[in-house]
Amino acid sequence: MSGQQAVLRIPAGTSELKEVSIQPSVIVAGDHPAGLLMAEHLADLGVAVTLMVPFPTLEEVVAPYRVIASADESVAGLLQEVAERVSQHAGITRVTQADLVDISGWWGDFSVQARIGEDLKTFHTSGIAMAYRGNPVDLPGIPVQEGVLPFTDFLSGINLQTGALAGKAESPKQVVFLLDAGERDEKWASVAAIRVGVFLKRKFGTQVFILCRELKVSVDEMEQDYRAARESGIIVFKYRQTPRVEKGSGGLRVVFEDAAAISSHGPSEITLDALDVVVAQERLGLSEDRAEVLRKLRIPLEDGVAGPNNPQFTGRTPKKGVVVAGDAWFPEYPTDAAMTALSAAQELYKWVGKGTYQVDAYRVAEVDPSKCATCLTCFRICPHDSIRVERYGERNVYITQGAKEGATWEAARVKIETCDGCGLCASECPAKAIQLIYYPDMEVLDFLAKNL
Amino acid sequence: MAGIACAGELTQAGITVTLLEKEPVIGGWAADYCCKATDQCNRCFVCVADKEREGVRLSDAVTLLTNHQVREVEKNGSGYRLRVENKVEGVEKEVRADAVVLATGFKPFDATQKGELGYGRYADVLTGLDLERMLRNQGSARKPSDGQVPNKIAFIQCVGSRDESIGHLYCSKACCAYALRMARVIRSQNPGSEIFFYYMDIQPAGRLFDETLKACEEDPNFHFIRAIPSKIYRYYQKPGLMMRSLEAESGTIEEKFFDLIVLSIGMEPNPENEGLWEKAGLKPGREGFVDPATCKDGIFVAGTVSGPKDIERSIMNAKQAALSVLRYLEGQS
Ligand SMILES: Cc1cc2nc3c(=O)[nH]c(=O)nc-3n(C[C@H](O)[C@H](O)[C@H](O)COP(=O)(O)OP(=O)(O)OC[C@H]3O[C@@H](n4cnc5c(N)ncnc54)[C@H](O)[C@@H]3O)c2cc1C
Ligand code: SF4
Ligand code: SF4
Ligand code: SF4
Ligand code: SF4
Repeated sequence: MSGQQAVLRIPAGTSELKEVSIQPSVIVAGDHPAGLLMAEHLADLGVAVTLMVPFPTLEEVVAPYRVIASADESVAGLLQEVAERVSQHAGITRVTQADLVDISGWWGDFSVQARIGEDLKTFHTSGIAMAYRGNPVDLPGIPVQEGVLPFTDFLSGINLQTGALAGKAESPKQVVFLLDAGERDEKWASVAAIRVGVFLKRKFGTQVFILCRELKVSVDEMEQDYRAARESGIIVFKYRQTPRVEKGSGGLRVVFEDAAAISSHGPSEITLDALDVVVAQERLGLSEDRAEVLRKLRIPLEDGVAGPNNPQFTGRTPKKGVVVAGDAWFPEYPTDAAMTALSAAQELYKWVGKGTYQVDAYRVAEVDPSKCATCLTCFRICPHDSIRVERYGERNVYITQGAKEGATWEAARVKIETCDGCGLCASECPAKAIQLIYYPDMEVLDFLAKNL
Repeated sequence: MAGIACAGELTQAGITVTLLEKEPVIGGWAADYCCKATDQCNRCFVCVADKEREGVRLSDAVTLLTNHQVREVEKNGSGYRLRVENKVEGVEKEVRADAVVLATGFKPFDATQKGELGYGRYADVLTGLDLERMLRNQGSARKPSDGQVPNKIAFIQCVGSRDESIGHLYCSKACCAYALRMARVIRSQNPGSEIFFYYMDIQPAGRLFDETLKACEEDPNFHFIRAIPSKIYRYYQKPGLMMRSLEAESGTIEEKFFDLIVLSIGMEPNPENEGLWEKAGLKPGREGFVDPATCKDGIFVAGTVSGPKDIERSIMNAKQAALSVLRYLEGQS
């Protein structure tokens, strides 16, 4: 369809496949239901799965999502009985009340420490999936006060039979969902608010107001559900600035400027008064200990979300053999989170599922030991933990520091099983001792000379 | 594009894959899109699609049949029989497989259906697809009428999406993001340019989108206007195009001149393939795309065939499909 483009060709014959054997085993850890889906799929494919959840039962992983499942058939389809199926699956070893606290090693050979109750226990595995829920970090712009609930607390606190919220006897008469106050690039809460809103209205007669900055409809069938919600009497406002939430007469009061109002028709301020509950979309983040585990693996974290800010890493992390899912990857609506998680499961299966793995020795980095100055730059920056400093068979003339007593030479060496061919080491090496054999510098230069 | 990503995953798991593509080249629509980097990468995922395509093209494990259009997919014993037309030689042949992944994609909305927007009538009204191709092939935005660099540019969002009048009651999910990213490219190439962005709601596009949106909002030459323009027309002999809209902010009907107008078209189901799904036992969902819940017995969908997705989500959906295929084949053996 597009014009002819210059393409850098891999020279013929430059491929050397080496077979590495690998145990088909993974650890799936976390409190997000995406983890259950990953565990089930991988176990069905014959991978030995160890599932670690922080609760006494698997049902608690799914429980907070039950209200969304009552409101949305496709979520129900995903989560219905998944806890039961996983608790009976012969291919899954379940470890309850367990939290993963430390990971070391590399793809194919991870050592994982978990806290189980009071004890620490070590596990060995080839691959790791971390499917975490986010914790409410804050409610930006909304003062904490009685009657204001973070969205996730609302989801986990509501009684599906009575509609009552945690600590209350009856269902609230009205619920205000206040969205987008801090997080605008997340749409899970908007979708959940509309679908759960319809459920509350139908089942308990609750009056539902939805206040948002943008109406987020980029989830399957959302535009239609939004229309249906409006027809069923749910009132949706778009506000200009974050609404004020304060104590009003006989409850909470929310005041905001209606963005849809035509301003030439006079002031557009709207007040909702005597409200029982305001459910506000919080910012979600990972708990500090979980963030610490990821940081130690050099998996970048931004705003509590794991994974690099780089499109080339679609669904994976820079650490080969480790994937993240659930809110740890990005807070998403359950159907979207399931897609992301299963794509991450496929990513893991590809590496560890088959018992052996072929590595093309020409796609990895190679150190020329005669140039290496053992400065350890590559060792520090390699995101895949693929560089070790070792002895070589000939003298390293550039040796300056780091030499152990008695050693006359040593140099960096790449562990080809785990090297991802990312090239970071090659670009950072001050002694220009590392090359990617796949695209040696000479060939790249040659290509540029011919094409520019 | 999703088909390619799925094929790549399956070959890495040791499965023999045949990739059938009706066009002379693989890659689908995304093969025509531009890189939307300004002084930094704006994370449009187009290069990821390019890379997947290159990987499959160079792989020995995939049998690549271009110019081969699938006409029929039929269950045959435990596997499938596909009737495939070789469009160059005009002959039909049969391909057999244990499992089938339909990744037949979408059709870009035909903007001439919205006659009031003047597409096809005025040279300087482009679709998002035209602008993608222009930026990919020519490197910068020009007015097709005279080849000049445009200074005042309007983007109209949701053209052919979220629109009951044409029966498209769904959001196309990718167009807010691609439009904002291309607008950023235009702003960075031509610092004197001004962008007017007509929209209903901005749809967030995943975890890598926030920065682009913030950059647009902080740019003083970037105007977000919550309105859907009602008409584009020429005004006597004056240069440029006149656009009329009711703007909520001021409450008045505004008329403005623009050098270039971009219609952010969305996606619709590809009608050409409707017979194909039906015969294969798949049914449309509420939005008219294939309902993935109707996939069974070794037939799977990947990418936009089951509803609008951007490249990132098409790839993720393709990986998910690959996992389902592997799980199905494991259960069969
Ligand atoms: C104007 C525009 C701009 C966009 N820009 C971006 C962007 O910048 N970033 C982004 O992430 N997303 C963008 N998107 C979304 C992106 O186009 C899609 O996510 C992506 O193309 C989906 O890939 P696909 O494989 O599902 O479909 P397609 O790209 O439609 O691919 C389907 C393939 O199947 C082939 N095919 C169809 N029927 C048959 C048959 N019967 N037999 C054989 N082969 C068949 C087609 O020829 C095609 O190659 C944009 C969309 C539009 C409309
Ligand atoms: S960065 Fe270069 S010089 Fe330093 S240890 Fe690595 S290979 Fe040796
Ligand atoms: S190319 Fe270098 S930095 Fe990248 S994974 Fe391999 S050894 Fe590590
Ligand atoms: S993601 Fe898009 S903007 Fe970034 S480098 Fe790739 S093509 Fe360019
Ligand atoms: S992504 Fe944006 S432009 Fe596209 S249909 Fe949805 S709201 Fe409209």
